[in-house]
Amino acid sequence: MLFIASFSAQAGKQNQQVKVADPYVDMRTGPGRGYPIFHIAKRGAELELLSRRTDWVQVRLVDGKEGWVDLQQMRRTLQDDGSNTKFNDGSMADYVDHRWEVGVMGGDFGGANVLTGYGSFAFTPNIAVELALSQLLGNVSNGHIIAVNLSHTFFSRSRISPFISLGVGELVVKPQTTLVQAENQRYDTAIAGLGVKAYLTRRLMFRAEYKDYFVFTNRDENEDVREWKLGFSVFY
Amino acid sequence: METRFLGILLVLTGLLAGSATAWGQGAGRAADQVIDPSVERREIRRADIDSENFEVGPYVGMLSIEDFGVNTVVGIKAIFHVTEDIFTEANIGFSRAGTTSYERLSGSSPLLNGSDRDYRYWNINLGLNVLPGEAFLGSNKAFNSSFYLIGGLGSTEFAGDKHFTVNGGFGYQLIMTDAFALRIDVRDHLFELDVLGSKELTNNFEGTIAVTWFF
Repeated sequence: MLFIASFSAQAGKQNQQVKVADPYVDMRTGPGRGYPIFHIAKRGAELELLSRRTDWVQVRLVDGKEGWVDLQQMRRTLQDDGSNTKFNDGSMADYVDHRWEVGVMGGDFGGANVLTGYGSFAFTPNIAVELALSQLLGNVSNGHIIAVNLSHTFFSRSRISPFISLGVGELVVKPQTTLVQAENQRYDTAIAGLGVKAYLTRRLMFRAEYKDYFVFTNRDENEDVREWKLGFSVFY
Repeated sequence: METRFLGILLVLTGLLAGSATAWGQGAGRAADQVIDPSVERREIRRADIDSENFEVGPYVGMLSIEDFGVNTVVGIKAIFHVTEDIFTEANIGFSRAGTTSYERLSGSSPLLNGSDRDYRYWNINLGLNVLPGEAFLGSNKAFNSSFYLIGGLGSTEFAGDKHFTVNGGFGYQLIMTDAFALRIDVRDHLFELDVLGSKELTNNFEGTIAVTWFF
């Protein structure tokens, strides 16, 4: 319903027009530097903005020719009030202010392979809550972990920032069918971690973390499992 | 030299005297200011434009499950373009294993039963567009295309267990219209399986064709 509404709103909407201020801009056949330049738009030409793909903007000239212009050149075009055209971008400034983050990581959980997907929301530039789902794939057993962590990021305004985290979760272990027909085992776990985040480009960031899982068993001793992972995230 | 020094002194005295009178006048007419200090804040407008960095669509193809024959595979892929060169991709695919030669020839009981023959996988990959270009159809029609390398990690559920899976390969993208693209992918999925007695690394080659929609 919302989709239909937004679609019809788009259909009725006039595309924005901007004016070329450089001596000329290159128009390419596709959104990439590998595609050939087939036309140029001279200073003063009106460009109708159609769509955008990564760092390329699809424009239409008055004579109907359509092509892709580099975002760097589009930033120097003029809007109807005479100011330069601004584009929403993933930038270092957006990274500093970001609230939402989703990402994937892979690594090692006490000898088993681990794949994690997570989403986090930052209340302040430093403090965030995150929900992580991990799949464990080992030699003798598989399993999964659902965990909620609270993290504190230091130097959140810099390109590379360390963080610490504390959390709780549930670990489910399923022995492999070829070995024994055992039942799934569930454990509560408390998690302490530290890691580092680094801004890469646009909306992409790198993340590495080390975590210590205290697994509460009904045996005499609780278990201690160490985990490290690396991954990528996008932020909004 | 001396005249120049005198000149500078004169100018300085003049300036001081001038500013003193100006200050005197300013104090006298504080009520009606010449310059209105409340500058209107300039509104920063962002270009009103749709970004189309996501691509999603179904795929169908053939998957060679090692020892279990070549079978049809179907799935869904979602892609996020980070830059013109780099993209991330997520896939979910389903297939069903056929019978091994051993099962067919020996006539003994099957190695896998029922749902154990189901082959399900997901993976998350990083792709690199290496050869952007154009494909020509006749002399008047050209489609944008791109050849890419791709690889990643994921999990495969087969023979009753989940297996850590590494996949890698290459693909070719043909942009048919502004909104739709065709993707042809060749991948190898590698994971360890111990159905046939000992644990061994299996190579599972997959060829798929996808139709994706940009949004």
